[in-house]
Amino acid sequence: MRTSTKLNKFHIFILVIAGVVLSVGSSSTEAKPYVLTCEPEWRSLVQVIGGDRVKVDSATTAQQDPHFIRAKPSLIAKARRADLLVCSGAGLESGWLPLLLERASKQIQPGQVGYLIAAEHVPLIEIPELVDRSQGDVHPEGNPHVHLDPEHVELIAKLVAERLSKIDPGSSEQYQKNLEIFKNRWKTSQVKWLQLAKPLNRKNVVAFHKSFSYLFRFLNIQVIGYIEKKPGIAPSASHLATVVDTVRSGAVLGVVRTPFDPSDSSEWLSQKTGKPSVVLPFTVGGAPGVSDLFLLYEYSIKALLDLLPQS
Amino acid sequence: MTELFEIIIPALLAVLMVSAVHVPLGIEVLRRGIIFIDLAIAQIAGLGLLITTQIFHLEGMVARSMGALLFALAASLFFSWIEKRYRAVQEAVIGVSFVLAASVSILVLANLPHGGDELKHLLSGQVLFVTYSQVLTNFPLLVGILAVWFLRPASRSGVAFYILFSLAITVAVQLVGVYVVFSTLILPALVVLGSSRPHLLGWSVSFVGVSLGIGCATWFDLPAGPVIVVALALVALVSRGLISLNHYPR
Repeated sequence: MRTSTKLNKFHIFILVIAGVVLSVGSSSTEAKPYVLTCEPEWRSLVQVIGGDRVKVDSATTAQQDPHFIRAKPSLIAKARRADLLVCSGAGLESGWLPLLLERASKQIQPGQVGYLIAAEHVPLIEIPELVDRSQGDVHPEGNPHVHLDPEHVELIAKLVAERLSKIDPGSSEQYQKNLEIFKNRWKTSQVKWLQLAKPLNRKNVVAFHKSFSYLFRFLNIQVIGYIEKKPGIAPSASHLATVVDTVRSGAVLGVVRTPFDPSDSSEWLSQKTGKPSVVLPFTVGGAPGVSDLFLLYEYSIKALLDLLPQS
Repeated sequence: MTELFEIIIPALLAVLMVSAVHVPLGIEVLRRGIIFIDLAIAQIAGLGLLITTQIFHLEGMVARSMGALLFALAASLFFSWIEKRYRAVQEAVIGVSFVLAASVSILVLANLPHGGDELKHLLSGQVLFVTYSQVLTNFPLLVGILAVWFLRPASRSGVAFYILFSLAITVAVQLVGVYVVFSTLILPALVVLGSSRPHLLGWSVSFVGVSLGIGCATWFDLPAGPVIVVALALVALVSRGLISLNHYPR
């Protein structure tokens, strides 16, 4: 009996300490939550959900390949004070994010509320059946470019609102309100986009890399060839010859790439086959005027529509 | 402000540590006229890392470092043998070894691209991502190299030189990248040519240069490696200008 009362006193002591720590913790979060994202699409999404209640920066810009970045002192400073980290995951940032996390704040370490990796929360496609390094720069987890599927964006928006509410309970209502507004507009936009993209239904394209797999699935566009021999591997001469044959033999709208893919091979293929080539923005900021996720989808669809032969 | 210090201190320690070792090594390399040996050894160490991870599928810190080190040591023995037998063409052989190792790396990677990031990391280094534990694990090795160098002057010639050199380069390249390695070897050595106290002068130039580089990288928020190279080059140029040019051997 005596031991149990002792334990109870000990428990109360712990609870008091925890209460003090928690109240200190919550009072210190009166400052705006600070969010660091790996890619600009997630910065844009956090801005929509957080509004003026949060501050957010992105580690990469739309012109950079998120596979590889160079560390600047400010990036480490940002990682050290971040309350929330939002990244695509599935190996996309495996070259630098683990190194950055070693020097980052406790709140954004794996397993914490502040660690939000999109690919861990949405169904991925193109998961290799056999994980083998000979298959190229495969992401054994699947295709990491998940922000180009509108349903994924909605799922992550919900998670961003949840995480922000946990980090900053005082603004929880505002986050939920922003989420509802976003979800409604996002739903109506999807109907509009599918309507707009009808002429693209079941059309074929050739792409540089598997960057747009989710978008093409959403719009029901088929990719019948990739310029890269395997993901992340530069094309060989014989592979390019095969791609030229594919483009010539099939009804192909054009050649698609991101702003950070090399232009030479796409332009070469375009000239060789007479099919147009197009740079899709890929992320927010990837083309002039593409300042949010709505405009990203709209711009991409319109750019693809421009590939259709004029009739 | 204190936060900025915490960010750059491990990087600064790593670069200072590396440049301390590189001053005596660089003077020797310049004296022998084999200035591209560090590029060749770095590239060959990178090839060794690729072959251990990609062909033999050995993972983990130890296996990777051993792979890189074995190749670097083999290369250093080869260069030392070339020096004995074919002194006149040694620099040419070193240059050929560099392009050969680089080309074989590309061929190894042609169908195994995940290693691409590894090689890029090994060669370019990301000084700002250096952690305290990396500084601590490499510190004894670099101190050891310096101790052997100064306590046993015999190590400065023959095979021992090549072994010490390849050890230092393999460690340094992984910490700070190949451009910083090359400039911390060669620039201070150029400044101190003909000086009566070459080591002291070399260390001063090197420490001022790399500290200025890290400071500028922080102030202007730029990638640290390239800024260090530019700053060290400027400091070297100014120091050489201050020293009487009459001593410059022609």
